[in-house]
Amino acid sequence: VTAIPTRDSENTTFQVIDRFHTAIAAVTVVGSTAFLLALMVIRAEERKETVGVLRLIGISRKTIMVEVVIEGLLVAIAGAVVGVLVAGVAQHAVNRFFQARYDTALIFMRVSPAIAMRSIAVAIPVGVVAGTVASWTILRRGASSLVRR
Amino acid sequence: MTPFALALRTARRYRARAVLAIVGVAVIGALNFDMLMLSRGLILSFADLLESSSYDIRISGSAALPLARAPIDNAMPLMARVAALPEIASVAIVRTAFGALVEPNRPPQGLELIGSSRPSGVGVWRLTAGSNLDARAGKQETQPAVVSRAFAERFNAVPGATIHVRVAAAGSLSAIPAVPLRVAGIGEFPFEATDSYIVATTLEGFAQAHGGVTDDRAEFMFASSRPGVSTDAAVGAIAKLRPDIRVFSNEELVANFGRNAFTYFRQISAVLSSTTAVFSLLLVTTLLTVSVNQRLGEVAALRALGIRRRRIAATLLWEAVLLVGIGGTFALPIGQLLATLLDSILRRMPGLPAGLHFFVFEPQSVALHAAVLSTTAVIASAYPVWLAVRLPIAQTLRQEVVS
Repeated sequence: VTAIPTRDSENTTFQVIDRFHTAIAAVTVVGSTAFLLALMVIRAEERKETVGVLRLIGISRKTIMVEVVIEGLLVAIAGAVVGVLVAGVAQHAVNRFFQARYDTALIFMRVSPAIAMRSIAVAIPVGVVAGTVASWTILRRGASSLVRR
Repeated sequence: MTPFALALRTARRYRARAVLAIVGVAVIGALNFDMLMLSRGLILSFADLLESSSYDIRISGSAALPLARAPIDNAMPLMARVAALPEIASVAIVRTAFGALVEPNRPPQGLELIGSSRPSGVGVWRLTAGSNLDARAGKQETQPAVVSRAFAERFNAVPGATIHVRVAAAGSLSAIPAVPLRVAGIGEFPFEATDSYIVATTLEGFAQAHGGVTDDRAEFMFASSRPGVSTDAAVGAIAKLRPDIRVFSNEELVANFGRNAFTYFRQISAVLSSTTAVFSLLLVTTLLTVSVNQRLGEVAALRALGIRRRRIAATLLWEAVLLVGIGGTFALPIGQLLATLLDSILRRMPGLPAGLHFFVFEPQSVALHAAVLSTTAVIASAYPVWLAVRLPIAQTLRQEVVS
């Protein structure tokens, strides 16, 4: 007699699907990072003269950089929070569709607090990276070149 | 200067943002391309799998679903009658049973025993090493076997080795002594899971493993129609032979597979391809809009110089086409790499036939990908174009000077 724990055998299939969705989520994070980065670079470019003036009156590079990084962080966290809210609303529609399609009571999508926290946690490094790169694109130039003088 | 040249210069001037936008579109476009491949990949892969077997007709017991293993009673007389039909070129029987490898000093290891009427194993396995079942010398000798790669690697069953197999009866090993089988070759069994332990032998070997007595049944029966005869005509001719069998063409099997198997992945691909298309649209629209807002003075100056609204609109449209076009082109090789990775993840699913793939490239996916991206470029440029063409020239220039 070979005993196979039901939990383990079920997990094998679900673990594969879980890995598949994790891989897709990772790709989406890469795309989102590029999106946020582009947005932050444009925002930084938009304010290069302001940054130049700030540099000329003695505000340090570090202070300006921290400001841009915090901005990137706030945008990323706000985006993640909105994403979690949208997913929270969408989960009912997704579950209803698949439960009707497969005639089952299984739950296909659940936005648990752990998943919500993980999404926000992923957004933090994304925001920091976007903010750092965006601030570097303007702070590497001299103050006079930023104010076009 | 043409609108295209102007768009190209703008992209070069704002290189960092252009590169980032292209990277974003390439990554999200790759995911979109993958989802388009996933939407039909399984069906195409399954159809390829069936076509590669060289049989175009499957026969099963009357109670069976198209791919279920409902046995066919009185299989040998039916095989003879099918073979005698003028519409049929060849026919084969496959029998299956659960058994175990029984070797001294080793606990029995479960396996699937296959008995095939075709020594070449067409439709069941593809030989990768050694020889097929027709390499046997005589009826009195040990029956030959072709084993799966997983079995060969696990038990070091190289061609020439002898293995001992005992069949299982009603879920437990029977009292019938284990029969020796000579490993003639190693094969791939595309309809079975990659890690399955499979031993395929002749119908004689299969009968010997059952103590020399087997009921006249078959789990599968394959047939191929004669050249020049339509598959439907051959299917109809076989179906008329006996009322207790069901006959399916490969097309019917593929259609049934499309309706019932792995529908979750096709639905999830539809959801994700829509989501990624919206994401690309949002990305390009946002970047173009912010970019236009940043260049309002520049646009107003061009308008004041006499550049027509249509040319401004065309320039912005070209900007969108450049970003989406270059990003979308990069998306194809990235998507292909990503598809390989995702396919390797999904193919670890237990029990999945070794020959089945989730992501299959086809020109239709590329065409659809191009159509989605073209639509994205046009829609994404609509709002920035509207902003640019409705710009009050004098007021914008004044604001630019004052600021």
